[in-house]
Amino acid sequence: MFEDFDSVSHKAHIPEPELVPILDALTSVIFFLLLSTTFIELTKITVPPSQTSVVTDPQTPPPTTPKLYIKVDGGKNLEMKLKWAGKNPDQIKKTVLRAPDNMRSREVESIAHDIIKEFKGKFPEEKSIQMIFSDSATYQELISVMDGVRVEIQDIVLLSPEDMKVGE
Amino acid sequence: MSFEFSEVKRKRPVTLQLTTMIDVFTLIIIFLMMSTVLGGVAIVIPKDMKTAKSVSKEAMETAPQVVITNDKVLIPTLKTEYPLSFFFNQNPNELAQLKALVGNYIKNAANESKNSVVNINVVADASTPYKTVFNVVKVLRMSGFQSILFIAEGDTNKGEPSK
Repeated sequence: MFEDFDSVSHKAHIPEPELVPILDALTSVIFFLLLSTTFIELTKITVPPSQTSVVTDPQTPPPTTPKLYIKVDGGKNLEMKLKWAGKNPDQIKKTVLRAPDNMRSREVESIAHDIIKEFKGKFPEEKSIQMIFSDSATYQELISVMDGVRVEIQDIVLLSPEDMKVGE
Repeated sequence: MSFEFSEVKRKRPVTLQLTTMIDVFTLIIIFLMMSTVLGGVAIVIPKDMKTAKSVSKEAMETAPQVVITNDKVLIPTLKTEYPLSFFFNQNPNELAQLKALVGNYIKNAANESKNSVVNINVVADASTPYKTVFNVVKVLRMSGFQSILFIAEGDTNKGEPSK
């Protein structure tokens, strides 16, 4: 009877793997891999096969290079003039009263936006604009005009106030 | 007899492997601590300064600040300040000094944040003339700052109509 019981207990003892330390070690490995991973974004540029290009129009149209001149006119008005070059050079000019005490003016914002919207209607591909302010234009006016312009064009290049004379 | 044996087996208490749990949680804490980036965006505006207002809803970026006052330009990050006249008639020696300071700052910032674009936040009074803002920005760009961010206070009001 005793012998039998002993033999049964020997057979029932199946060695089980120690899962806890294995999980522990694996977790450590996962964290090590996570911390030591560096993600690099790679971009692919597909270059089309070289071929002979046929130029139908011998003259590439010159760039429009839009320039927005913001001139303080007589201390009370703000004159905004958008000039562009290119095939059909033209200009849009509007005048707005300056806000008192360097306050934010919604009219300055909306006039700047209207001018740029009109220009974008003619040149939807244009993504950059140059802005020139008078010496005496204020930081608030710079911010207000930028607010109006950035609705349509985000890339703004500020030019020196000395360039105002060239535009005139 | 056999029934009793199985009952004893069922009543075997389940023990919680505390050591392993603590081990795993420690690893999680270390991971979270190492992967956390603390980027506080704080702008200190002088008391007497009236900030410009803007409708833009863009969030501010972490960058050192430059404050343009009536007579000087403060750059707290570089622990330096320059008189406004410096930005109008640049002294080559002082410009070289500023370039060296900015160069050191960019080197340290690149090591710390791995951020290749060096931005700077420009804070100015609403009445600051454009010529002053332009000259300061020009010198800052010459010194090594790549992108200039103009700071204005968010304004949800429709604004002041012109009179």
